Parts: sequence; structure tokens; C-alpha cells
Amino acid sequence: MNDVHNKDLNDALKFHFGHDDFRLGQKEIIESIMNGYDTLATLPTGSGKSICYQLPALLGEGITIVVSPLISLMVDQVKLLKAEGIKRVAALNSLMDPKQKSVVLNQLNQYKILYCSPEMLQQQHVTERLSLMKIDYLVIDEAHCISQWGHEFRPDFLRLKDVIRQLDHPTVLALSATATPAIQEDIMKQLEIDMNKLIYPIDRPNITFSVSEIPSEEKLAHLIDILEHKKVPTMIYFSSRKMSEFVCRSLQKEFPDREVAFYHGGMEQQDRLLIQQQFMHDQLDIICCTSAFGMGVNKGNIRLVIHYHMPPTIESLIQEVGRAGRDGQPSVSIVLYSPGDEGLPFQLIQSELPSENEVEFYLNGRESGQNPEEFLDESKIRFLRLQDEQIKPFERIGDKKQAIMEYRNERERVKSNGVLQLLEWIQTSSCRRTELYSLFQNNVMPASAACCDRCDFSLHEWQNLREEERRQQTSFQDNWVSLLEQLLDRKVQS
Amino acid sequence: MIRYDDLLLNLFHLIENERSMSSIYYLLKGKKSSQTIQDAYLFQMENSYGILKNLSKQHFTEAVQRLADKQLITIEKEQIYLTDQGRRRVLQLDQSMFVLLKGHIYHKSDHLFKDTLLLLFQTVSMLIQKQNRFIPIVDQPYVQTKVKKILLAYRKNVKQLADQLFEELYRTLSVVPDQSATLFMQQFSGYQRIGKSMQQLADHTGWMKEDIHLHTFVVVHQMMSIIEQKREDFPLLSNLIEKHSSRLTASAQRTQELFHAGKTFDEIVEIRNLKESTIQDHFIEMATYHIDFPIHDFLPDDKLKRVLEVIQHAETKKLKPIKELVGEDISYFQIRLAIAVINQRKKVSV
Ligand SMILES: Nc1ncnc2c1ncn2[C@@H]1O[C@H](COP(=O)(O)OP(=O)(O)OP(=O)(O)O)[C@@H](O)[C@H]1O
Ligand SMILES: [Mg+2]
Ligand SMILES: [Zn+2]
Repeated sequence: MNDVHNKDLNDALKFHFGHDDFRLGQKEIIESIMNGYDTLATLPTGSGKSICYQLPALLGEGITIVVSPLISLMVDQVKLLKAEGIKRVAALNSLMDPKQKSVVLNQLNQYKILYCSPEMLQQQHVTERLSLMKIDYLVIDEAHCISQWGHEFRPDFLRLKDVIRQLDHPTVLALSATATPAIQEDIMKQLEIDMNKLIYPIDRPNITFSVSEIPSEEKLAHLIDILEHKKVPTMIYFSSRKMSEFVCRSLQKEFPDREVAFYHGGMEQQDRLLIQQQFMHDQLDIICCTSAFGMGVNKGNIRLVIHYHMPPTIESLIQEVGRAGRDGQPSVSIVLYSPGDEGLPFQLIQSELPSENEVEFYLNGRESGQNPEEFLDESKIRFLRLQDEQIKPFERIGDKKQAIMEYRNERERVKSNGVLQLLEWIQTSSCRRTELYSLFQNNVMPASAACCDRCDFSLHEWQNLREEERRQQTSFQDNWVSLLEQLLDRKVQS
Repeated sequence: MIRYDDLLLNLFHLIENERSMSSIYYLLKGKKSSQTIQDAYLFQMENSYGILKNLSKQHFTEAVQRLADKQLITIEKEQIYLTDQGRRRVLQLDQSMFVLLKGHIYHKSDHLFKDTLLLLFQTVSMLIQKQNRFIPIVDQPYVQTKVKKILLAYRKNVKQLADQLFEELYRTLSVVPDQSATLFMQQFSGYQRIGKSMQQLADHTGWMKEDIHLHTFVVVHQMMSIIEQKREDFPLLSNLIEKHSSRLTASAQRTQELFHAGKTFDEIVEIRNLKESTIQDHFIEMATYHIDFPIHDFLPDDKLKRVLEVIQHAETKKLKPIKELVGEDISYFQIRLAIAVINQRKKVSV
């Protein structure tokens, strides 16, 4: 067995990432996989889960494959690593064109870390290539996505167990910041492997929780009131693209001296990249976004995360609030709730899952050689395709339909429960911190700043403590000559 | 200053009720069909070809509706008619600003030019501040490779590279109106400054995103033509413009190769196993772009003359009435070839 020396690991951390010490849990997780144990680990948002596989990957002889649910997240990770000087990394995903993909596949031995989307791992020619390599670790980031009990469940993840087998079972590491005990069990069940569990508490003592219940017509005014007093780096989450743009525009009018931008999945690639980079470079004061801007986004000084609409589940709340205070400084989460807000997430659930008629339509259409997919939404098709494939043993359409409907109703139940759970949290009269985290663990650390609005926090008082953190100034006023001079550090000869 | 709505109105004026409104949509998107390309020249709107490649049908329809709401146009079954007010507006437009667009020449290379320039600029700006770790503002691997090549060519002599970039940019942008040059430079990223998105510039100026886009590409096209006029004066920036790639579509290029290899029209139809009408489209493209296209192989001189006369005197550019005037013995294909030749001559004379 590979006996790793304490000092060596610390030196490697310093050498590759410039950190002096490991944070809680990191070393244990790293040692566990370096000793060849399949490992399931939880750590809080912002605690440094990435290093738990990046460091072993750099120290290993072969290649490490990282699977994660969001393509944009993987692409960002690759860019970040490259910017840090770690060049032997690559991404492989369905957004790349065939030529780009084959470039990567033809030089696999050049890479230490390959970020791969789950769909890519379903392709025969990809797994065949990979199985020729020495694979040190297979990492599943945001592993709660494997679990059927998890709201963010992604069907593509279900086939990972076959991939593990095809790749001759490399050491597996599953990571998450939001896995309840039931989800942890399910992850192991889905992967069909027994894992060394390193379950660390996921609570974030420096985040204060607060909910404002207000009539919906007063929401915007309330938001403006908060922002008026708190000029700190802020993220505001919305459940629709339209609203993120609408509120962004209102805030731009209200605060002409502050830089407000929006970010959502419907924007062009170039615009997304610019906004994200402005955000990372402290050039924005406020960003109005959807959940497309979330998982994995790593910026130290977010002081305030506001949910303009209630998120669909506790897990997404934890993920999104997890963008706050990653530098350890006190930060605040505010959920704005108006009675009836839960209607939207419930509606969303219905629109994502096929109805009984649609299931029937799909199965009958398939039988008669038509293409029913033309008439159904993307998410419904994905759902139906996978189910159709998984439920082979049933010959008769009637049986098949029944099986699919049972499963569909189960998903509806899981998702609706998620909404109800969050609603309960919003309406609780006891400590929000304890309520929130006791779903995940037995003990919750005391808050390092204010705890919550049910304990010791008053939004009103906090609001009136004026706070200001200035961003970097980049003005629209600069003309082209001064921009040219400034950015290229040269002067026009006169 | 060029505005999207004005451009649209002007284009609708040019095709007025001879073509449907979606032909303008395809023109702006730069659809690679012989019909669109030929129309572009026929109606003298080739400079707008491919100028808004990412335009969605929805945005286009919204813009058309906006013009209708302002009572500048009326819409009848896909056809656009200008109102009197619309006509007056067109007369007031400063036509010289549309001429600065050069979509017909640069539609294939303008995005690449801009992206490469953005990345080169960011890289140089970071490197002169000794920052060699940063996130590239352009993702495309092709662009990244291109910038790396340029860096290598300067053997990493960053100071010299920065001098050259500064000087060449200053020279090209000085020719452009100040306001446009500023909107353009605002989009650039570098040391301690990430560029603004077009959306942000639109919000800031109170214009539409398409306006900002048009402005940007007016600047890009101006820069590109300044550089191309005297490549040797721009040793750095001329690297960002690929030398004359063929303007034919890929499929038309295959057809042209066979034609140059001596195959006849019918043989090409057979070899390529494509519809006759498709191969006809390819020949139209060839005739539009290449001055040496042997038109006489397809249309004897006397017939060509006849078609040209009819076109000159007819009040329309629609094929059907022209066909009725020239007579039975001249096919649609031959008429289209003749039009291509007119376009060809027009281009040569400018
Ligand atoms: N040992 C360490 N010492 C100091 N900083 C560290 C250490 N480990 C990680 N970090 C920093 O912590 C930050 C967050 O890390 P990372 O993005 O991996 O978090 P995460 O756990 O994946 O969060 P999320 O669940 O939100 O994705 C990074 O900026 C990283 O550099
Ligand atoms: Mg992470
Ligand atoms: Zn509390």
C-alpha cells in the first residue's frame, strides 16, 4: 500500500496550490483515496473539495477522470487550473466539435486530469480509449446528482456504475456538500460499490439566515431598501430569466452609481464569459442571476445572497447560499417570500415531467414507427428515453406505461417534498440554522456571526448599519485613446 | 450613427414588395444559398450580408413589428410596404453610413478577426504587467492557437509586441468616428479591467444590442479594409486577416473543382449525385464571384444581350415577369446567370 508521508503531502499542497495547511477533512479524504479506498465524502460549500482530487491527481502516475453535472462548471475548472499554471488538464464534453474531441482523445497520455461530462462516458469509443489508460481515480463531483432521492438527480449519472466496471474499477471518489444520509446510502447503492465514508459537517457558521415574508407587490421596494443601505458585493437569485433581467434594469435605474448586471443560461457565450469575469474581478456590485450561475462559482467576498424567489429545494438553497462568505467573513442570506410563491416551483415540476397522456403518446408513437419526440419538451424526452430503455423486461405497452407512471409519480413526490420541506423551513418558528442543517447531520456548530432571524438577527437593525465595500472602478466614460493607453501602458506621442 | 431599425427600413426599401421579409432575415444572417447571395447583389444590399449572424427569427420579427408600430411600414402576407412616413424617413437617412459595412467581403472573417484581436490584446496587456496567469477572454481553441503563434513569432518580446499593437491600433482606430471607436474599445479586456458585454453597452447607451453589434462591425470592417489596402503597413494586425479565402460555399467549391477539371454540367450532376437545381445554384455562385466565368458556354452572346436589355428596361427584378418578356427559348437558369454577370460587372466597376 502507498504510504504517504505527512510532510510530503503538505509540501505538495504548497508547491502546487500555494496553501500552507490542509483544511478540515482534506487530508483524510486525500489519504483515503491514495490508499486505494473508494470514498464518499461530504464537506461544506467553499471548503476546498476540488483539492481533494486535484492534488492526488497531480501526484498520481496515470490520469484522473472527473465527472460533474454541469458542463460550464467543468470548463471553468479547466480554465482556472490552467490559469494557475497547471496545464495538463482538459475537458471532454458534448459542446465540443468532433475535431476538438478527437484532439483530446488522441493525446490522453498528456493529461493528469480530464473533466468529462457523463454523456461522453456513455460513448463506446470514449470508454474504449480510456480503458487503455492507467486511471488513478474516477471522481464524481456534486455526487448528490446520482441519487434518485436528490432533487438535482441526473439520469445520465445512473449509468456510471457500468462505466466504473468498463474502466476496470479505478479508485472512486464521490464528493458533495448537500448529501443527506438517505442520499449518501443511495449514492453507494447506485454505484454498486461499498465506500469509505468520510462525512464531515456541512454547516457554514459564518452565514446568517433570514427570511422576509412580504406581499409580492412590495418585494422590489423591499429589495431596493436593503441594497440602499448595504453596498456590499451581492448576488440575487431568481427563478426566471425574465425576472432577473427585469429587476436588474430596475436596480440599474435606482442605483446609477453602482454596477448591476444579469447572468442566465439564455445569454450568448461571449456575454456570459464577460459578466462572469467582471464578477470575479470585483467589477460588479450586484449580479442578478438564475441557478445557471451557482455550483462551483468561487469568489471570496460575496457578503449577501438574496433569493428573490424561493429556490426549489433545501439543497439548492444551500448550494446557492454557499457562494457567500467563502473568505470566512460574516455574510448574510435573505430569502424573500410572498404567500403563493411556492406555486411556481410546483408548476415547474409538472412542466418537467410527462403527463399520463404524454407517456402513452410516446409509447404508442414509438410502436407505430412515428417520432413522438417532435412534440415533447426536452426534459420530458430525456426522462422518457431513459425509462423506456431501463424498463426493457416489460413486453406489453400497458405494463411499460404503468412502470413509467409509477416512477414518474415517485419523482413528482420527491420533488414536491423538496418544495414542501423548504416551505416548512421558511415558515418555521425555531432556529433556521438548526432546522436547515439537522437534515444533514446531528450536531450543528454555533454561528460565528449572527445566527438567524429566529435567534439573534434583526434584518432591520443590520440594514441600518451602513456598510460599504467599493469595487474596482471601470468607467464607461473612458474614451478609446485613454483605454488604449491604460491597457497597453503606453502613451500617444503628440 | 448607424442604427438597426434604420438599416432594416433601408433594406425593406431596397427590396420593396419584390421579395418577402424573410429574405432580409436570411441576408442579415448570411444564409449560404445562391438565392440570398444573388439577391444581395441584385438589390445592392450586399454590404449587409451576414452582418447579424446570431440574429434570431424572434428578434427579427420583433424589430419588424417595431417599424410597423412606428407606422413606417405595413406588413401584408410576408411582404413589406413602406408608408409615406417610412419613405420620408429613408430619404433623411445618411446613406454613407451603410456603405461602411462590408458584409459581402468580410462576413466569413470578421468574427475571427475580432476574437483574435480581443485575445491578443488581453494577452499583451497582461504580459506587459508580468501577469502570465489569467483566464483567456476568448474560448475557441482555434483563436487561442492563433494568438500563441503570433506570440511565438515575436519570440516573446512583449515590449516590442505591445509597441506594435498600440501603434497599429491607434492608426486604424483614428480613422473611425470617436464614438464608434470608444464603443469598440470598451469591449476589450486586459490588466485589471474586463471588457463590457454588448448587452451592457446597450443598457448604458440606451440603444439596442443590435445597434452595438452593428457599430462594432462597422469598426471591424473599416479596420479590416484599412489593413488590407496596405498589408505591409500593418505587419502585426495583417496576421489576423486570412488572405483571400474563396467566397464560394464548400459545396460550390467542389462543383467548381470538377468544372475546372473539364467536366460538363450534366457530368457534374451525375458525379455529385445532387439535384440539377443545386448544381445550377453552384454555377450561379461561381458566375457571381468569378470574373472569368465562361458565361458564353451557357448563354450565347445574342441571348445574353436580350436578357440584359429586358432587365434594364423592366421595372422589376422578379424572375417571372422577366422570363415572360425574354421568351420561351431562354431558361430561368440562363436569366439568373445573366443577372450574376451584371452583378459581377457592377462589382468590378466599384
Ligand atoms: N487548504 C486550503 N487552504 C487555503 N485555501 C484553500 C485550501 N483548500 C482550498 N482552498 C480554497 O478554497 C476555495 C474553495 O475551494 P473549492 O472551489 O474547491 O470549494 P468546494 O468545496 O468545491 O465548494 P463548492 O461546493 O461550492 O463547489 C478555493 O479558492 C481554494 O483555493
Ligand atoms: Mg466544488
Ligand atoms: Zn438561529
